[in-house]
Amino acid sequence: MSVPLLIVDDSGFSRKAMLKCIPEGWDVDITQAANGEEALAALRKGLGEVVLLDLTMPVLDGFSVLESIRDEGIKTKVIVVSADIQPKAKLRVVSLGALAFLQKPFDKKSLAAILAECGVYSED
Amino acid sequence: MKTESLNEEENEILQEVINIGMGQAGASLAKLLDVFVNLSVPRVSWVNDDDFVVKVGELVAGSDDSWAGVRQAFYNQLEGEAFVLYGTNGCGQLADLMGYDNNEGMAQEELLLDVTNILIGACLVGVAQQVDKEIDFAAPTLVGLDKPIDDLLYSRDREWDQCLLIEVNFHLEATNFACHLVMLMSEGSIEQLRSGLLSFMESY
Repeated sequence: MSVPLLIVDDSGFSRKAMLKCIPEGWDVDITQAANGEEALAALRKGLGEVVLLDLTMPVLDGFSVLESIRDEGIKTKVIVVSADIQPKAKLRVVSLGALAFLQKPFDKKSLAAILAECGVYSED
Repeated sequence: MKTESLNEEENEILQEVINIGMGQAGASLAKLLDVFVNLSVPRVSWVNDDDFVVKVGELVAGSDDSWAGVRQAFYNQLEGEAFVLYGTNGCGQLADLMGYDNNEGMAQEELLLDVTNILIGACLVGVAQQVDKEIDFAAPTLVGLDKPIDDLLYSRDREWDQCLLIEVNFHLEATNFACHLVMLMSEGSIEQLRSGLLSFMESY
């Protein structure tokens, strides 16, 4: 069965880059969101078993999305993908329940490695 | 003939490249000041040199009445000059945060030069790395303290072909400190930038 994968980033370029880097063998059903509110709406509909989440976004940022996921008890696996490389940003997202942090810019290899590390996709 | 500024797709890539540069700048600032920096989405737009002062005025309108400005020239494959503009109220908070006495003019000046050097350096080095271009920097200089915004923007090296306005809001947690970064670039640099952005896109 396809895994509902939610890609959240305000940059259209960045979303395209993520799409291109999704491992070819991974059977996913992809939804895209351009800000935190759109992301939460998709999550509430069950469209995000796995989420690739940007932090710096208009309307509602990634930190707030993580807080809502926690507060609403939404079951999902979040990997934060961000250019905000402050050590405290990483600590914060992990304490808010994110599984991992992937620094931008990323490539196919680093995304595949993180997905494997989080146990959501493995090439073998 | 003047170069057209970037098209929509190129601007979208530029936005992301600047986002990455800003992330690096924010992390450097967080380390220097030992605070958490809330990053905002950088807003990017282009204006002609003639409109530069008016547009920057619009950009910062309402956030403060008096400003400090630091400028820093850059050269090599990317060539131009950048300004960081600090609201006077925010400067005071920055000085407090660093334990400086507000009356110590020299110390505040040094602080602004340090912060500017970090912001412009990290941001532009980040951009230059992504687009694979060489960049070097002159030392930053203070243009003015406690001035109306217009007074700070007329001291430029020369006329530039295009001005890239990047509105960045580095907001330090628990303060009102925020600053704006604006850049002017030569026509040749914009061509360099364009080719670099396209290669960056193709790398995905």
